[in-house]
Amino acid sequence: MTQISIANIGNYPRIGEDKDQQRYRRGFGHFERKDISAHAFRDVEQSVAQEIIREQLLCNLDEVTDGLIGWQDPISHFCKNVVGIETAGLARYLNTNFYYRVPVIVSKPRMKEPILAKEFQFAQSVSNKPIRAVITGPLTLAAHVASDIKSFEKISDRIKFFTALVKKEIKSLLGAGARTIQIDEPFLPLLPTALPWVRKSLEEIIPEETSAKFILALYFSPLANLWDALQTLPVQGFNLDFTSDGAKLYRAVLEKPGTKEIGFGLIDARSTKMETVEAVAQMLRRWMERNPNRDCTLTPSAGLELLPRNTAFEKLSLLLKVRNILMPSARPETVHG
Amino acid sequence: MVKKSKLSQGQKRLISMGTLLPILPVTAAGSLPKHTELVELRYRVSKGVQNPLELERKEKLSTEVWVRQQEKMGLDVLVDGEMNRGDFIECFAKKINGFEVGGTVRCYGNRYYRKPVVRSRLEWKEPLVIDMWQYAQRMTHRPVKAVLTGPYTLMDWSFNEHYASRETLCRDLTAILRKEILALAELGAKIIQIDEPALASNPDEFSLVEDSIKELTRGVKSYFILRHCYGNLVPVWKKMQRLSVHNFHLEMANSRYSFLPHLKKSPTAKDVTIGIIDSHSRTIETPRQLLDIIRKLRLAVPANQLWLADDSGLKSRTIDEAIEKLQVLTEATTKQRAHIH
Repeated sequence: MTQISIANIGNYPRIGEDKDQQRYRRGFGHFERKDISAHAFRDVEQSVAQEIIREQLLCNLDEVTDGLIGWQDPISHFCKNVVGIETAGLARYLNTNFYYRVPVIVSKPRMKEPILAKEFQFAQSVSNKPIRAVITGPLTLAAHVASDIKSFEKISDRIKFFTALVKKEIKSLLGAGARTIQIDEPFLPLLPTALPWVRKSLEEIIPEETSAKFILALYFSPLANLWDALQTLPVQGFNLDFTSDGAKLYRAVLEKPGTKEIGFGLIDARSTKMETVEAVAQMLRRWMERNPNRDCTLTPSAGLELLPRNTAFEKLSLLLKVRNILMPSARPETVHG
Repeated sequence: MVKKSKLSQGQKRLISMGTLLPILPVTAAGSLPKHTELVELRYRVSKGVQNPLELERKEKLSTEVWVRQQEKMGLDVLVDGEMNRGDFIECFAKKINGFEVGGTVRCYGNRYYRKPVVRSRLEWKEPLVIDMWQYAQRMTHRPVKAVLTGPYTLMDWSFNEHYASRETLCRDLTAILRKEILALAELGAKIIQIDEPALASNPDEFSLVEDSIKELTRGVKSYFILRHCYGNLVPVWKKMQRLSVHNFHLEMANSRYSFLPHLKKSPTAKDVTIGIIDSHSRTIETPRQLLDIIRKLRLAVPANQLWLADDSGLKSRTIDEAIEKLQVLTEATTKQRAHIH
C-alpha cells in the first residue's frame, strides 16, 4: 500500500505575534547592538529552533527541519564561513519580497570548517522525528554571489568553488548522522541550460556509497518544462513546487512519473489562502491510483518563512489532515495543541 | 543656468510648471528617521495607551523639523519624511478598504513588517499621503515631492485572498492611487514619486507595471519620478523607456554601481536620480568619494538629466547619520556644480 510521508522542507517563521514568540527579534537586536555576546545569541537561536521543531512535531510530521533559524538567508549562511568573501548591499532573493546581503568574492576564497553538522546535531537532539538537513546548492549559491576578482567572474568558476563547499558540508552532515539531505536549487528553473553543471556538481557532492537519501528541491518557478531533464540527475528524489505551473507540472508528472521519489509541494508556501483538504487529497489520490504502491511525500511548496507564523502552522496542519483522508487508519492522528 | 537648448524633457516639464531647479538637483528618496520620542509615542498609540491626537501633533512637529533641516542642508526637492508611516506597505493598506493588516513576516535581516491581506474588493477609503504632503509643502517655497507606493508593489507585497487574477488586483489598486494622484495634482503637487521596488521581480508581468503607470499619469501635468531599488533592472530596462514618467530614481550605491555600465551602454532620455548614498550602511560617505562617483555618473548621464539622492529611505539610520549623509551629498554636489557652470 502507498505510504504518504508528510514533511517540512525548509525555513519557518522565526517570530510570531505574541511577546514570547518575538524573543528572536529582541535577541538579534541586542546582539547587533553588542548588548549580548554571540554565545548568548546562539542560546536564543537554539531555544527558538527547539520551539519550531516542537510546533512541527505537533503536526505529526514524519520529517522536520530546524526552521533554518541560524540562516540569515540561503546564501550568506554559507559565505560567512569563507575567507575571501565580504558582504555587500541588499538584493531581492529570486522573485520574492525577501532580501539578502550579496556576498562578494574579494580574494581567492577558502572555506573554513563546515557549519551545518552542529546545527543538525542540535536539532536532532531535540526532535524525536528525523531532521531533514537542508543545504543551498552550488548553482544557486554561485548565481547569488558576486566577484571582484577575474578568476571567479564566470558563474562556472563559482559553481566549482561552491561544489567543493557543499561537498564538505555534506560529508560532515553524513558524519553527524543525517539520513535525508535536501539540496535546494531554486535557481535551476531560471537557468535550465545550467543543468549539466548541476549534474556534474551532484555527481561530485553525493558519495557513491551512502544509505542517506538525497533530494533536490526546486521552487518559486515553473518546472514542467524541466521535468524530463531532471530524471537524469543523480538524486533519489525531488521536491517540486506545484504552485507556479501546477496543472502543467502535474500532467507532466502523471504522464511520465519516472522512478525517483516525488515530494509533492502542493501547499502554497507563499499564500495565506488555505487550500481545502479535499482539493489537495484529490490531486494525490489521482497519483496514487496511477502509481499504486509507490510511496510519496506531501510537503509545502517551499520553506514557510514567507508566511506569518500562525499561517505556517495551519499550513503544516493541512498535511496531516490530507494524509488522514488518503490513509485512514483505525486510530486517525490529529494535530495536537 | 543650463541653456534652454540643452534642457531635458523633464526639465522642460518642470519649467512649464514654474519650477526652476539648479543643475544636478539634490533630493531625498522618501523616509527619514523618527525621533525616539515619536517612535515611543507611535508604540503607545498602537497599544491604545495614548491619545492619537498627541501623535498627530508630534508627527507634524517632526515633519516641520525635517523640512527645515532639509532646507538648511540645501536639498533642492524636499520630502515630508513620512513621519506618519511605519513602512510603505502597511500604512497604505490601512487606508484602503478591502485590506486587512496581516501577520508579521521578515523582509531582511532583523526587519519585519505586517504583510497586508486582500480579503475583499479594494476600494478607496481615505486620502493616503495628501495631508502630510500638503502640511510639508505649506512650510517651504522649495518643491516637496509627494511619495506613493505604486500599485504593482502594493499588490506583489501583499497576500491575495480575493482576486482571481493579479491583473484585476493591480487594476483596482491603480484606480485608488489615481484618485490620490489627481487630488495631489489639484492641490498643486508638482513632483510626484511612485515607489515600485517590485517592478522587476517578474519581468513577464511588466505589462502590469506599464499599464498602471500609464493610467496613474494619464492627463496629469505633474513631473513623475519612478523609484526602484535592490533588484535587477537589466531584463526590463529597455521596456522601462516606454513608461510615462519623467525621471527614474535608481539605487546604485548599495549595489556598487553594477548597473552603471548598462546605463552607459543603453542611455535613457529621461532624467535619472541616482542613489549615491547607501541608506543601509552606517558608514558616512566622504565628499571625495562622492565627487569621484558623480564624475563617473556624468559619463553615463548628461548633467542636465542627472539628479542625486540617497538610494532609498533613510528611516533605518539614526538622525545624526541621516543628516551627515545628506549633508555630504549636498556638499559634493555643490562642488561638482561649480565645474559645470
